[in-house]
Amino acid sequence: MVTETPSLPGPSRSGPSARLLAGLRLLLGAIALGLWEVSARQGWVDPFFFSAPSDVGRTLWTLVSTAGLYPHLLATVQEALSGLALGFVAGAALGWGLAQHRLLGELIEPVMVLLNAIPRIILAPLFIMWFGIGMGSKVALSFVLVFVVVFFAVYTGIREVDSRLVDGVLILGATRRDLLLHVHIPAIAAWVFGSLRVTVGFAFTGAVVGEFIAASRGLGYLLNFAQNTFNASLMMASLVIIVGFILLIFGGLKVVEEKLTPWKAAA
Amino acid sequence: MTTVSLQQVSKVFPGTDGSPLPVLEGTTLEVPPGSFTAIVGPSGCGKSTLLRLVAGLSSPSGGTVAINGALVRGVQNTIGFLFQHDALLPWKTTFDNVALGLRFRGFREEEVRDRCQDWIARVGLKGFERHYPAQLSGGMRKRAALAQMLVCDPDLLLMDEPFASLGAQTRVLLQQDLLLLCGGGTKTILFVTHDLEEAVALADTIVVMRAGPRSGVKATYPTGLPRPRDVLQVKSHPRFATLCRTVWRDLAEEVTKIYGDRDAIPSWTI
Repeated sequence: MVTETPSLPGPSRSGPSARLLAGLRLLLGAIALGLWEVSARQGWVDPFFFSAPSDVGRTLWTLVSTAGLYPHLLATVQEALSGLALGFVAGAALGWGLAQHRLLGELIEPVMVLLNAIPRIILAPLFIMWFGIGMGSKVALSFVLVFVVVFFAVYTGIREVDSRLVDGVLILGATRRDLLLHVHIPAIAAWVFGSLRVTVGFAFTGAVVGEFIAASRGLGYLLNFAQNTFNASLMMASLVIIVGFILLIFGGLKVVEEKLTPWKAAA
Repeated sequence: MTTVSLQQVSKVFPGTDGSPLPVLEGTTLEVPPGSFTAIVGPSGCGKSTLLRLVAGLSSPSGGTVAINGALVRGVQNTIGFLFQHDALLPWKTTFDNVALGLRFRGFREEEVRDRCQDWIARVGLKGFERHYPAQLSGGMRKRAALAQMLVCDPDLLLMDEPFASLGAQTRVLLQQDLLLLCGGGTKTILFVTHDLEEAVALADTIVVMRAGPRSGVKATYPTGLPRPRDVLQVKSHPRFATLCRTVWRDLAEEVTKIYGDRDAIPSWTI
């Protein structure tokens, strides 16, 4: 029998090498920061409103080294993760349930489509009125942002499992349980991981925006405080912390995703 | 050994505009045990529908489908089915895909390992046990699917244009392997194809179907070509060209019904 060459991904893709590209990107970032710094020092832009990279760096260092940051970071992370976990469980459960019952699915789907279509962040003032300025309102906001996305990932994931794969394993003797274990769950896992970045981003959006409107702690509160005191450096530093933290989580997710869905990494 | 019998089978699908679409009507076909039967016909004539009815993936609107005299009810899980598309699970390695059938049937893990390794080697995929389908070429995926089907040793094999998506050379190699691995006359094979040469080269019996809708069996031809057979050598057998021409005359009539213009179809030339 003749062995064919497998279509393994090779480094033959034309274009600039990854290392060169990374170097150029770093350089571009450095130039942008440098321009900003020079502009602030030369007075081309008003440092009162625009701050400068060196000032932002100093503020950042103060926040990190004096432990002034940690209660805020902890509050935001707690709220975002609670909203994420609850939204995940509820969204997955409802998506699963509605995919099993056709009538219920048809009944509820329009509501979810509507919820998906509106910018759910507008519910923030309502939640603060209902759940107070503590953590509850932020968790609720995080939850409602995440819930809808996870719902659709699971709902469509189940409904749109390739019927041809199902036929194939049924012929091979799969039971209902086998079908669930070997076809449905892996197929949904792919959908859910596809949506995980969006949901993690949403979870933090919900928490930070909630804090921004009314809170006594959290990164959003820090932002609001900086705005009220016209502290541009603090505001920029808070933004850097929020962005940095989310990027860190994305990196972690990528590792987990590659571990749990190795067939995608292989492709 | 397994027989398949279709008596006056009809299948009606709901059409896109809601009106019923009769695909098969009054289809009667007897597949003798241990035979290799190829079904050819113009596209849309219900070849694939017929296979799905035998597999129990779809139920007839009228008439009866029976395997070994027993009516087909529900999905048959003691048969083999080779699909035109990829039916390998993308999230399982070659080995785990091949092992599916045995594991579903509750075989001991040592036996699963032995039998899978044996079949993976027989289809020429040794060394690719840990590869995912996305890392294999189209031909290799087909080989894995072949091993996945044969490892359970089913007596009845249904194949729905299994090699249609492959390149010409790969197709010939897989046809060779198919004859080598299950052309021994111990398995009953129903092979759907739109490639007449493939049908004549592989099968003992060619069944030509009428153009749809309301399709059925138009004619049956025993090929009478010798076994064991070599896919390339059989093409220079004196009967091969005659058979192709004879069957093509029948088939062309049906294809013309669809396209309406006989000149639009290339004439059969060897």
